[in-house]
Amino acid sequence: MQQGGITSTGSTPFLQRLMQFAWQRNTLLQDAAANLDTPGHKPLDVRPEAFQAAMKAARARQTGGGTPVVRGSGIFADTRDIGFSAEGIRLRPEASHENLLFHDDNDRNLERVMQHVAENVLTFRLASELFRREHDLLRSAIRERP
Amino acid sequence: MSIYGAFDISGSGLRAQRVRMDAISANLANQRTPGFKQVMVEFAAGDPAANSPFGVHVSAIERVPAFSGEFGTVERGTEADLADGLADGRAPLPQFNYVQAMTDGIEAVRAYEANIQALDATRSMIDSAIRVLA
Repeated sequence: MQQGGITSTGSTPFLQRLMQFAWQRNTLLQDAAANLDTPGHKPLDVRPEAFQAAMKAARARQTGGGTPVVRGSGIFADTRDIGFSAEGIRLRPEASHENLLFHDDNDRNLERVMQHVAENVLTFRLASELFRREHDLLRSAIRERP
Repeated sequence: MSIYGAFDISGSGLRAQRVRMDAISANLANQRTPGFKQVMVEFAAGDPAANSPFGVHVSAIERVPAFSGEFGTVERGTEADLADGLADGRAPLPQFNYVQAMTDGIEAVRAYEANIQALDATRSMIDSAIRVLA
């Protein structure tokens, strides 16, 4: 939840959103891995570039620029692929059609899925580590000692 | 979805691939069993057990009556003996395709491993999230 002051400034809100995005995307990637052999299954995904563009626009708003938010939460505006609310984010994934269709009409790409899984988990871990360090810093400031 | 519910998706994939591997093993073990009908597993998206649109489940296990043309001896009057409607103490041997069975087996193992990796990724994410609180 966004609160005024300490937690809505700096990188904290962006790290929160990044963790929410990576967690939601992990569900989609797990689904893609589970359905590697399911006939007719088309894996769903959300492009990280769409999320990055939304963060870039939010950063512009945080620093006093950018376009105002019509739909969304705080400085985060909804996009075609991602919806923002105070509770979290909602992905609107689309089926990828980047692979050759197999005879069972499945659009699988094992290597790509596993690459995305690895990238996604590292992104989440990076965001959570940065988030933790930022909060450690905050705790130190509150305690007035390192 | 709860924090542990995230494991259900990969867990459903593991279960489905295990059933598939069981079917391949059964077909392999019974390649010279007279009257045996090969087992074929079908998958469908979604996990009804977890009431989730994500994941996979075994939608059907079918018996495929594909026979090789050879016959084996069986006990008279048994189900295998009656399968071809002759009841003459003979039953057809299943048509077994080694290449297809081995390919299916390798695919199942690879898909199982992919689900293990996805499961491990989720575990790693939860671990990181818990460390934020620690």
